[in-house]
Formats: sequence, C-alpha cells, structure tokens
Amino acid sequence: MKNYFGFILLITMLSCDKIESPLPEEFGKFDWSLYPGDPSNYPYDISNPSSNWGVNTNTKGILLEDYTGHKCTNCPSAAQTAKSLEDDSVKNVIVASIHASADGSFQATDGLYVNDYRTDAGDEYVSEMTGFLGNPMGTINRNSQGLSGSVWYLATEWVNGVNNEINKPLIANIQLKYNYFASTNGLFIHTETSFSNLISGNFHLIIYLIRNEVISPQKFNAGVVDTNYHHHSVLSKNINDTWGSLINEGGVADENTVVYNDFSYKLPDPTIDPTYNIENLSLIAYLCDRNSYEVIQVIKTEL
Amino acid sequence: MKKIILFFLALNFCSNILSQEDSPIGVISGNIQSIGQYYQEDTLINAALPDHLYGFNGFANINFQKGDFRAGLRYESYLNTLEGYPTSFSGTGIGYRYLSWKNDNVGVTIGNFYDQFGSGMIFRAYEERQLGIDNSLDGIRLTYEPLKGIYLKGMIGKQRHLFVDGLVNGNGIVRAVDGEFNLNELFEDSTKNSKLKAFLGASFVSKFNDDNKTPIFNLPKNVGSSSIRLNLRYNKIRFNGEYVHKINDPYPDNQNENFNYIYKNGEGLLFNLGYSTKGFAVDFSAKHMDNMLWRSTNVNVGPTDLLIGYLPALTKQHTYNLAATLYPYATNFYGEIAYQADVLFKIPKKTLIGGKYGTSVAINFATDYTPKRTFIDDMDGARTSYTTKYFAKSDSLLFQDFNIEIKRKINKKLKLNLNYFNFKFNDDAVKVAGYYKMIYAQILVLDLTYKINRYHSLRFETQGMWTEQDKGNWAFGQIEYTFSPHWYLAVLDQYNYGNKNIEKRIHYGLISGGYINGSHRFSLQYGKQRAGVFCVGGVCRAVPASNGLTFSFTSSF
Repeated sequence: MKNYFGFILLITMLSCDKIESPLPEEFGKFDWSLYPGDPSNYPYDISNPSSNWGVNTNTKGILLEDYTGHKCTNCPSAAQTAKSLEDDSVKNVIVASIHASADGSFQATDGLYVNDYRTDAGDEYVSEMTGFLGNPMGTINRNSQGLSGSVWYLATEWVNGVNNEINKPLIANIQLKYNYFASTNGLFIHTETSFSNLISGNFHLIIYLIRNEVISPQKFNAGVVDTNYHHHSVLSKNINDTWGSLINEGGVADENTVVYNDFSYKLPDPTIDPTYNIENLSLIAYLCDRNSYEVIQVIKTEL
Repeated sequence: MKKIILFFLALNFCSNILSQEDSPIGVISGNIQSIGQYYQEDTLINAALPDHLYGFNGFANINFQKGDFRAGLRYESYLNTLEGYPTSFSGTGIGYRYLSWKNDNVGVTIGNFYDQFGSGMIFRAYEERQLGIDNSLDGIRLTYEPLKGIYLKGMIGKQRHLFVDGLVNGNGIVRAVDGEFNLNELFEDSTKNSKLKAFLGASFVSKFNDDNKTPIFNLPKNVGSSSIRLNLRYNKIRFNGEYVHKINDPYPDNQNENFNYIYKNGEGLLFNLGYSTKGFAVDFSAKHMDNMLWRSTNVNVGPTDLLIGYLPALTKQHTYNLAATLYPYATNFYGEIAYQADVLFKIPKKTLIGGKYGTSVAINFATDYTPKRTFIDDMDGARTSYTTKYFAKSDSLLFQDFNIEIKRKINKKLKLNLNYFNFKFNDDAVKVAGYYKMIYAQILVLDLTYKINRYHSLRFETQGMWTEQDKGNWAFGQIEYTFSPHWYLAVLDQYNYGNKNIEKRIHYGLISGGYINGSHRFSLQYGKQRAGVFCVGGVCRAVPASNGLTFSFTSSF
C-alpha cells in the first residue's frame, strides 16, 4: 500500500507541463507587437496555411532590375526604357530601380541629393553578381544572357532581353497576401510558392519593399538637374534580407512542392517620411536560384 | 414511464425484505426523488411550450452494506429533462455506481465517488442536484492511515460530464493526492492537555487532457495544482487558512480577450477567523482568487461542467424567494477579492428587548470586488496577460450584500422572522439579470408562523423588494397551512408591480399542496414560475419561466 501511494504521489507530482512559449513556432516568427489584437484572432490561418489560398492565376513575370543612381546622367533614359517595358502589359515586366554601383559614386548624397536610396541588398548584388560595369545596367530575370554571359545588360539591350524572356515557361508561381495595421504600421505578409515541374536548384523567395514614386533631384547630361524628378519603383528594403528565404530543401522541387512563408515587418514611419505612406508602397516577390541567380517567377503587389 | 414505475415498485419491494437490520445478506437502503411537470404555454411570461409537453427528472439511490463492504448505484431518468435543467442530461439509466470496502487502515473505492480536499478550491467532486451539477470521479480511490493522525488519500479517474441513457465521462483524467495531519493525534503524548487543536493539510491535483486541438497555441496537456491548508482551534477561537496554486491552464474565452488562452498561474487564498461562545458568535472571512478556473478539459463546455475545483462563495446563502433568485451572488471565475463578516447574538430572554423567549439576531455583510489587475502587453509572448497583488482590489464592485435576520418567539403560538437585505449587484460583470448595469435593491421579509393548535399551523410570509433598476419593485406573499402530520397547502403570489413596462406588471400565482407520510412525501403545485437564477454557493443556473402542473415525490427506506 505504501509503495502504491508513493507511486500515485510520484506520477501526480510529475504531471505538469510548464509552457514557456505559448505560441507555436509559426506564430513565433512574427513580431506580434505589430498586430493590434490577440494573435489567436489574426485574420489568416497560420496553422493551416493552405486553407487561405485559392488557385494561383498569376502569369509569368519578368523582373527588370534597373541599377541606377541620382547622379548618373545616363540613368534617366534607361529608366524611361524600363518604364516603357513595364507599361507594356503583354510583357508583364516588373521594374525595380536599385540605386547601387561598385563604388557608389552615382548614389552618393550631398546638400542637393539628400536622399540616400542605397540599400545593403543592392550593394551586395552588384558585388556578388560579377560583370557589373557601371550605371545604368540592369538584369532581366537575372538570366546569364547579358554582357559577356553575365546577368548584366546594358540598357540598350533591355528590350531584346525582355523579348527573349517572354516565351519561357512558367515552372513556379507565387501568390502573396498581406495585412497592414495602421495603428502599429505593421505589415504582415503571407506567400504561397508552388512548382509545376521537376526542377533542380536552391530557390530563394526574395521580397522587395518598393516605393512607387519618390520625387527628388536627378542629374541629367550637361549639368542639368531635375529637382522634381520622379524616381520610379525604388527598392527601399529587402523584407527578408538580401537573399531571402530558402524555399526547397535538398536542391530539388517538383509539382508537389508547395511552400508557405510568413513575414512581419514594421514599415518606416510615414509621418517622418511621407514617401512611405502605404498608398505609395508595393511588394515585389520573386523566386531566384541562389547559385545561378536566375529568377523563375516574379509578382508585384501594390499595398 | 411504465418501466420506470415498475422499477421503483420493485425497488421498494426489495427494500422491505433486505432492509431488516438482522438480514444475513446485508442491509439495503436508499431514497428516491422524482419531479414531473406538465407545461402550458404562457406568452405573457415568456414560458415556452416544449414539444414533449411533459418533463420528468427522477433519481433513486440504492445502497447495500454488509460489514465493511458497501455498494450502490443511482438510477436516473430525464424523460424529458425539466426545462432549465442542463440539456446534456437525457434518457434513463445508471448515472452512478460504486463498490467500496475498508479494512483496518485501508479503504478502497472503485467506480464513482465524491470527495473534497480542504475548502474544495483544489478539488471538489460533488453533486448539487438542484443545479444539475454532478462531477463525480469515476475511477479508483484509496485511503490510508499509516499512523494515527495521518490521513492519506489518492485517487485517479474521469469526471462525469453528461448523462445520455447512462453515465458519460469527460475525456480528461484527474489525479489527486491529499494528506491531512491531525497534529494533536500525531503527537498525542505531548499535546494531550493542549487547548490548541491543529490540522495541517496538503494536496496535489493534476489533470491530463488533450481535448483542445487548436494549433494556434502550445497547450499543456498536464496541468498541476497544489495547496496547503491549516486549521487551528484554541478554545472558542478558530482559524482556517488555505493557499492554492495552479500552473498555466489556458482556456478559450470568447467574451474577454484578456482571458483568452492566458498562461498565467492561478492562485487562491482563503482565510476564516471565528469566535463563538454561548449566545454570541463572530466570523470573518477573506478571499483572494485569481484565474482559478479549473476544469478537466480545456475546451468550451457548460459553465458548471467538468469543474475540478470549487471556488467558495463568501456570501450568505439566502432562502427567501426574492433574495435568493433575483440578484444572487455568482462566482466570478476570472477572480475576486471578497470579504465577509457575520455577527450572531442572542438577546437574552425575559429582557425588555429580548422579550419573554429571547431574540436571535444575525448580521451579515459580504463584499466582492474585481482584483486590481495591471495588464501587460505580452499576448504575443508569454501570454500572462496581467499581474495582480494579493488582496489588491480594484474599484469595480461585483457584489455587496448586507442583511439582518431577527428571529423571535412572540408567544407560545406566534413566531416572527424579520429579514432585511441590501444588495449592490453589478450585472455588467455577473450578467445573470440581463440588465448589465449596477443594480441597487432592498428587500424586507416578514415571516410569521402561528400555531393554531397541536396539529394545525399557519405561516404567513410577505416580501417586498424595492429597486429603481432592472424590472423595478416586487412584492411577494404566501400563506401556508399545515395540518400535521400529513398535509399542507400553500398559496403564493409574486407581483412585479414596479415594472416600468405596465404590460409586464404580472402576477405569478402558484398553489401547492402535499401529503407527508413518514419518509414519503408527495406534492403538487400549479401556477406560474418566473424566470430567475438559482444559485448554490455561488454556482448558478438560469431558471426559465414556466407555467403548468408540477408534481414531486420523495421517499427513503
């Protein structure tokens, strides 16, 4: 009897689960201080993400990264080329203006050019993806058919480069949803990435925060400065760092690969910098092979 | 219905044979209680007419004992369940059964059993039939007295949850141990002449349940709760103190986001200090209760379902109709800071104030506040939600009750019982009246019993309630005529004469009568019963309005 009592006492005393982290790991990914409410009431089923999504109807996109600078006199015409390509809805070109170069001289700030548009990611892309000569240059889905087999295209080749990219098949796709909470300036982003064919590579999902328009000085030829220049689709921040989030483990993805990602991000305060007003922001999400840099799908979502 | 009547007749027959004291095969005893009601529709008081027209609740306990061996069962019938009773009780069958035996210092119970540790904050398995509460454990209980003065209990089981043609247990498993030490018995030699009597107790109760499958939170499957208690008595002074602590035990809460799946520890502190002597007694109680909802499941269930712990009420249990059913105290599961003081004294007989036979006076004051909580923004992290300090109350009054009862025998034939009640009732928090604001009410009760002769007596009861809020003023009157030893007849009326809506100034008339013969009692009543709340010890159930004929029968053998 004594032993039996001891046994009951022991199992009873040991029967406690002290929970140190009430929210499961997927909930822990978020900065919930950006959500003005109880996480359990968040309007997206994080624990069952597939239930949030319907059929993905996004068509293949082409990412045109325009590496530019506000002191680069040839850059405005290149930006015009990019804008024209983007405006052609058939081509589905998505432009990201990245203020970056090898030495940063065209992007430097001073008393006139007060805005620093440089980003860590832009600088790192120029540094890592070899073959960059100078602004203006760009990448077209970061394919390796640019100058000397690099990812870099001169602006004069952007139209051809885009045309060569148009007929490539869609082998992966992305959908993106977001929730923005003005009281905290918190942005919650949810993505679904799926593949339609067997493909090898280490694919990363990268999300850019884009300011649609920023008005600030731009240098032109012959010393002309347009102080009211509309900088278009300016890369302002990488939401999930320079190289984003790895989508597929093991270097292979196939038609059964469906991956859900969630991010939370505190947007810059629009009362300090009105260019970060939510109506002036977009997200560009693209899927990139980390080894070859090639982009296999890109979408843009206006906030 | 025929089957049930045959069952109860057979039971009565068997009992006549087996209830003989000298029966060689043991002693059988039991009791039966049955209530049936024919319903009538009454749109004036919102009394609905159920499809089944007739409700019936029946209970019969049968116990057998031979030596140290006991066995018993309770047969229950809900055909159909009386209106207002939990609808989770339905059908007919056995709802309770047990076997137990005790040899020397060891006791064993298998099957269903009730038990309680200390005040019940950490563990109370009990039945309150009027409320439809039955959370008996179904499992095994051991009791053991290794030494004189040491009383140990250990038990494991599932709690009764539903009744569907028989007992239906919840999924959760309750595991409990308790030790009580009578220090005077334990140290008998050194405390033989001591006036100080001391009891020390400690308990540990844990539950396992995996009912809540929400992927949104990491829920604890095993939750433990522990308590210590001390009872002291010195001459005419007594002190009881108990502390209970419960680790993270989150529950869904759709009503209050601050309590929705919170992982804060629960705590309860209960103190009672009393002094009593002939003709005088004073008693003071204090309670700090925070986040002590304690069920064997972590999903939403009925408010009285699967409760492991009982949160003691620090209020007087009222019996007079208006005081008991309109604005009764209901335990706030979130937490309470409550105090209660009682003073009872008897004014001696043959004095100017006390009168010829003396006068008993009972004064009671109870107050109950929401704890002062400092909310912290951690619902995205630890989810403790808030902090509290012991006995730190907010300015949010939940309930206040001041009442005086004066009992006096006027002469050999006439007895008087006079009661005054003053309530402050925060219906925004308690939400039982449907008014959702603070209610201030005063009630006066005059209860007179006049003994006509040895066999005949009359009882007059009149009550008045005055309030500016809710449904306004009420009046109540009752006349009861008893002709001993067998018959009684009563007529009563409740009248909501102060209702601001003139159409709702309704009389709730009721006539009842009964026949009593030894341990058998049969009664009939017909009339209107208003909607209200019925509470026992702070645990309540809503009673819907009804109109119709009710019969009840109770018997024991």
